[in-house]
Amino acid sequence: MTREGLGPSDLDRVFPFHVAVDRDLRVTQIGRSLAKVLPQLAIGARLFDVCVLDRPREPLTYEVLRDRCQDLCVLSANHHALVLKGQIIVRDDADVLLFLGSPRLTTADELSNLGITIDDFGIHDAIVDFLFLSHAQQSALAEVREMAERLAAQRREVREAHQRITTLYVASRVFADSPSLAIALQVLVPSLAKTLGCTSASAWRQQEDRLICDIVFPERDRIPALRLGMSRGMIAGIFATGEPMWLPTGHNLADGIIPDPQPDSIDPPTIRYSGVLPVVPVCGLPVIDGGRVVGVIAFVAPTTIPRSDDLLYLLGEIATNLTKFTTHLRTTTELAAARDAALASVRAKTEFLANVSHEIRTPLSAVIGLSTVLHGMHLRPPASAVIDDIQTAGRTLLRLVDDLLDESRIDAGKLSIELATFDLVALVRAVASPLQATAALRNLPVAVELAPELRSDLIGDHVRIGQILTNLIGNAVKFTQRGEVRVRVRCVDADATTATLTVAVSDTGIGINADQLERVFEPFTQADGSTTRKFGGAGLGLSITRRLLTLMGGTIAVTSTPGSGSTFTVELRLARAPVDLAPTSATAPGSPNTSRTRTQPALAPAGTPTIAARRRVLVVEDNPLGQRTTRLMIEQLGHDVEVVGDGAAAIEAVRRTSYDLVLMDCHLPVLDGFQATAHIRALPAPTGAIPIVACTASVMIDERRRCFAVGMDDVVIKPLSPAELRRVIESTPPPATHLPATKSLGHVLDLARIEMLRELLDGNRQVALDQMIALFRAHAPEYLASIEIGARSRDLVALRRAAHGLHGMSLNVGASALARACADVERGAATGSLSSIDPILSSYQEVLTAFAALVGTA
Amino acid sequence: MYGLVNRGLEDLIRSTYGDATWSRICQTRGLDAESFSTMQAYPDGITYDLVGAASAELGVPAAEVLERFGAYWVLYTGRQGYGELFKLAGRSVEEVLGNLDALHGRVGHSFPAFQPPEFTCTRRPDGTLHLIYRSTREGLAPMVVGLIRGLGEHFQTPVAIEHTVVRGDGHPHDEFVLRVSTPQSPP
Ligand code: HEM
Repeated sequence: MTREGLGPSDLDRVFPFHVAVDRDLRVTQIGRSLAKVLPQLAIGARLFDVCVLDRPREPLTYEVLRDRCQDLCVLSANHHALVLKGQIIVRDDADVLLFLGSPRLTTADELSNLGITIDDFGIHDAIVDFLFLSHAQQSALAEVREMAERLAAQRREVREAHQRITTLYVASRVFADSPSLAIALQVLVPSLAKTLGCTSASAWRQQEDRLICDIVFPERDRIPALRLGMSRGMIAGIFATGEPMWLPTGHNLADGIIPDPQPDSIDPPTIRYSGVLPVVPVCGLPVIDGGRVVGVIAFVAPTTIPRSDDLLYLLGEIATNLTKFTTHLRTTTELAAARDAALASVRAKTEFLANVSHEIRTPLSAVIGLSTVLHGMHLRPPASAVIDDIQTAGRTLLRLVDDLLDESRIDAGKLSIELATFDLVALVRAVASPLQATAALRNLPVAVELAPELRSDLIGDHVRIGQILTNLIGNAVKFTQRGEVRVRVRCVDADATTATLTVAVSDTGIGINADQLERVFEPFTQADGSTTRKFGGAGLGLSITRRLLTLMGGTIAVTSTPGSGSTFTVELRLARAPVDLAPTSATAPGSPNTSRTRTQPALAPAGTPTIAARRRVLVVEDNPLGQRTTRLMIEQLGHDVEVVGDGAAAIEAVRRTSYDLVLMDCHLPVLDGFQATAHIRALPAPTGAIPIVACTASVMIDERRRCFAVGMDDVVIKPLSPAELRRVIESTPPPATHLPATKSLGHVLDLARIEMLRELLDGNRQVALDQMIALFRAHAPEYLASIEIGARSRDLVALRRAAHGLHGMSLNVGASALARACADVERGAATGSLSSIDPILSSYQEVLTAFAALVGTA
Repeated sequence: MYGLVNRGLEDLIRSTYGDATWSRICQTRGLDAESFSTMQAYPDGITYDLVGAASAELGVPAAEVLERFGAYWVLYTGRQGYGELFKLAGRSVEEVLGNLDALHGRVGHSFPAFQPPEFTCTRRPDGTLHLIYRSTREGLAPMVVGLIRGLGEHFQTPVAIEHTVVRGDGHPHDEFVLRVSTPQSPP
């Protein structure tokens, strides 16, 4: 041993796994740790009996160990896990070989196998640090794996949560939008199945003692007439309990499917959809309606799916919402039924009123008509005064009936505002003048101030505006004993397309108390109950006025000082007609007593000679009183008249005799006025083209539409005043110029254009013309339908486009009146207002009639 | 301190007081309940913070939390795959105590971010063990008590612990005298 050599105890502390051998490889010295782990290797034991040499790969001999002392030496113990790695040191002139090493370890696990602890190693030995590091690395890796798994699980959870939320969202949308349970289930069932992870779903409902299947998802799984017993199985269970159910894994609650036609013979343990996949019920929820289980939604999969709290919650949530939905549906249906019933009763009331008004109007017409006739006979006083009173009373009564009718129509939402271009100034004058005349009798001046900036070309419902003016001015006159009534019409605001008007009607009458002021616009109210008795009227005038204004987007206000007078101010915004628009037939202002009619294109334009040619008029009227009245009036006007009592007789009469005009009552026995007109229109010209004017006591707009639809030229409302009757009769073409066919055609068609067409289209002209007409006949109905639909749905864009189309087409075939009517509607739609399409409908009818006459005649 | 310590604290609270309690504790300190990775060094403040929050939440003095944690930690690390390292430390209470210093010393060298404690354990003539605990950190002596109790439990060897010198007041470290009984049954 050299001076710096280690003594045995130092060697043992530093290298507890060392071993020293002699030339025979007998152990001469051994470290404590090695001795502990490998007791066989005691002093005197031979190394090669206990170990083999792993490295170098040579036999374990003294020479090998000595010669390879520069190399790594690995000894592994026989039948033992211990492997030592180290180095040989040659000592004492080669008498002793010293092996210095330490166990070869890769994991801390091996330590416990060897039964060694930290203090079995030399302090310098890095193997322990290596173990710490390797352990740290392993635990870090394990942790990363764990994190990755947790992340994946979280992702899955998020995905599932998202799917659940989506399903709940889908469900909420479905419940909000679906009009019925069946539709809701169609959407809901597939979405739910997907969320629950089930392959198929089905909806079941009870039929007698079976459950039958309504919806199967996917559709390909449907088996015709799938039926289910109600005694066992999940679906039956849910049906019985009314609770959502999720079958535990390994359940045996299979559903018994009963396929037709032998309902009770087969009862397989599992549902087998389409015979491809055997599937088992997984979960389901009840459909509850009106507190009763009415059905079950069931979900199936190839195998059971583990119950999950979240999904069970989802099922419960959907079941709850489904119940809310059915309850909601039920109440909505009940509400709708109640609303329909209420509407029906309103409609019934309106119809009743309309009928009553018709019934009242008919005899009233007779009273007024006959008194007019008597008046015309220039009786002596006091008879003439009595007749005047009868007339006044009759007209008052008529007003009352009309007011009641308006009120009920507004209630029923049946009063529509008809837009047309009208002359405001003329309208105000026309309304005011008869009232001025009445007031003048009492020395009451009615001053009308029309602001100079007023535009006369406005678009609005002139009849209703006239009615409002009549009501206001009439009231003012009625309630003012002395002083004056003043009407101020102003335009307070205007731009290119609209004008805002104010009409202020002031009086110096009795005035209205502050507390009554609030109620003057309520129906059946007058400032003072006694005024009704004193001045007459039902107290509907102001109520109707305000409601009409509301319908037209206008307002009315009142200020009053009791004892010194009141002022009613109306504000109304109207569309302005385009400047270039020449007044059309619709510009005629309504006067208080004229009906809501327009001069129809089929009739000659206004301005016919005052000394009219004698016309021959056919009056179709079933009421004898009415017959007599009309006959008398027409005769007084100096025309010929014939009377028939029903529609069939009318057709007979026009076939037999040629008339200039038919005055047709609409409601007739045997064949009513509409049917009769349709028949007449179907006759060849000239009979088929004879002017027919409807004469009706009904003021319902629907009825007027019907009149034009069947081809009548005009509608007048009973009772007819002599003036009205004269206008109607004398606007028919006089018989002297009444050339067959072509004459009335001229009003419908632009004959010059037809001629030009004939010129232009060379070759067989008539054939070409026929083709043009055929083209019109083929395509016009389409436009017409679009116009009708556009008007009904208030789709101004569509209306404008269709009217434009028909306009062009009409111009091509020379249907000038129809073209004009279309242009009116088109222009109206362009300025944002909905004009009546009646003129188009009636003109179209005329064009067809005219074409019928034209084709094959020229 | 080593993340495993924080995770150990977390596991103790979750398993004895429930997940909700742990979430609340983390919330009061603005910590993410699942963010400790075991092999990472975290600022000591977090560990002290968690102990403080747990003490407030559970209504138990911080020293007791530390002691419980110490006892739990031995059992916890044994369960969490540290069993092998534990075996490296020794096969009896005495052996482990004897190796504590070597163990922590090596840990300190392998992971420079760690600042493990130092221990000196000597057998006294009367058969008791004298344990000196030196640390860069303060206030963790209750944890040492818990850890030793845990060791006793682990090896089913009752250990009587006496905290003879308390750090502070001129004492730079803590000292304990331990009486280790014979094991009740082999571990
Ligand atoms: C397998 C066994 C063990 C391992 C691997 C181990 C490892 C560690 C590690 C890594 C630290 C943290 C150092 C740092 O973050 O700065 C630590 C701290 C500590 N260890 Fe151990 N330890 C073990 C067993 C023990 C035992 C049985 C005791 C018993 C007394 C103990 C007492 C402590 C103490 C008191 C601390 C707190 C740190 C301080 O005081 O500064 N350890 N240990």
